[in-house]
Amino acid sequence: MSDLVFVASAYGVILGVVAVYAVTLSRRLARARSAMADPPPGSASAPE
Amino acid sequence: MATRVLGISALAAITAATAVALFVVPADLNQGEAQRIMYLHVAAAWLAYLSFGVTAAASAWWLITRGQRADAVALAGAEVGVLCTAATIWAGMMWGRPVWGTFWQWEDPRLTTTAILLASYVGYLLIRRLTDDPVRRATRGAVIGIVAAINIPIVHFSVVWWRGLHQGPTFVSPDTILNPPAPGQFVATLLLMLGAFSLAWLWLVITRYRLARLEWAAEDRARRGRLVPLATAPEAGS
Amino acid sequence: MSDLWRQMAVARAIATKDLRAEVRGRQAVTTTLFLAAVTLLVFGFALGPDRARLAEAGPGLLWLAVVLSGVLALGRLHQSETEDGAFEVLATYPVSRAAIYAGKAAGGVAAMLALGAVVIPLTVILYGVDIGPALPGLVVILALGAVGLAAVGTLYAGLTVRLRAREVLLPLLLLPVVAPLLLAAVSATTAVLAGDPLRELAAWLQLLAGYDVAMLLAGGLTYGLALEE
Repeated sequence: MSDLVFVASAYGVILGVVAVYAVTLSRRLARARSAMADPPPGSASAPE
Repeated sequence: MATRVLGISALAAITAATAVALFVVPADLNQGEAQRIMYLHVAAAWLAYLSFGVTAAASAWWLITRGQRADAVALAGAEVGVLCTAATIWAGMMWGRPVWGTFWQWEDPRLTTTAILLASYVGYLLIRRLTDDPVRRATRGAVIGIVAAINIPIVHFSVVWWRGLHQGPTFVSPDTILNPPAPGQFVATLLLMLGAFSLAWLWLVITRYRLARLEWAAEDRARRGRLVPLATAPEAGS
Repeated sequence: MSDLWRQMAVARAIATKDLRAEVRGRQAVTTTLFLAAVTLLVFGFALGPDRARLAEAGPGLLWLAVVLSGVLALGRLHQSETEDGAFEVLATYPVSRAAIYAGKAAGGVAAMLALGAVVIPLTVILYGVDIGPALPGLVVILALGAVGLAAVGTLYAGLTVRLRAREVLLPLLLLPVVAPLLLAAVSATTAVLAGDPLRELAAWLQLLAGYDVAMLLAGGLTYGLALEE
């Protein structure tokens, strides 16, 4: 039954890392988008 | 948004595929439960090499057009590729220990070539990280990416040759699922896993691509030291 | 045709400049020769004292010493350019990038051959590897390996020379790309020393030659990108 350790380790680690990466990417994307939308404070006035 | 649908489908598909691979499909008679890992390993390997191809093609595209989109694709492919390559090696090791008795085998061209692939990706990402200027970063990466792409088939070929000359004991390869073709349900499970992870791959690459585009724009804005008119910034989601 | 002569003249001028600088005391490459010798010595401490085991490992250790020292040498061949700012000046010359690449790579080949000339006799002495009639074959393998190493090493050295972390990055980038060359060179060396019992030597030499061509093409076509920065 020790083979199950390897199966669990394979699926667990891989799915776990993929999940973490996906969540991290989503957060970074959201942050980057909001940074794009709001001008940095104290900057020159936006041309309009 | 289409990508949200893609993401949710990917999640659902992976859940289903994992459930089938672990609980529905029977274990292999010879390899036992460990054989279930192979569904993951083959899918990851396929996507690792796909990512590599994407990065190489996008690198060539950058060198030709110098368009930032090309570089963003190359970066996305490489980062997702590192993940797939590491997953391939990890799954290969987890499969190898129960089936071969060792975590590593020098005679398996897939494992050794994939290790070189991982080293190549890491080098690619590292040289990018160490270069501050975005254009130089893209160009350096592109050259590394293309030379590495030329190298991979050479590595594979030389290891196959190496193995052929020093014929070890008959050696089990992870993809014996396809050679000779295994019972239908094994192949079907493999295809399901491959499909599910391909959806996830697509979502990850698209997301990383978008992030790269925004990061480039932010970098550009910071460099110029003034506010970029919102009309010319890449619109969220491009 | 005269254009080709001009290209070759440029390449030769660059190679001679490197050689002259080396002889006049730049010591960029010559110190790596000593490094290769010390490396072989230290390998002996790590794997010895069983002479049979060392002799068996001989081809591998020989090529490891060449590759590890060679990577450093190829890096240093470019570093001296940046120290004087010569690299930037070189980029402004109206000559084909491929000619500049050929000149730098030729210097690299000479450096690799010099490393081989040091490493091969030391391998014989330190590890008891019996060369005998295999010497001509060894020279051929060395020549093919030297070209391959110099071809890709010159390109990567040019790409990384202006980076802060280049001493680590160059080996890190180069070793995976050079892996098949290492494999083929060691296999060919082992075969030629044993008298090629499996008739595999020709195949390995072809692999080396193919690798050399591929890397020379890649370098010739893309070296300009490294210069243009």
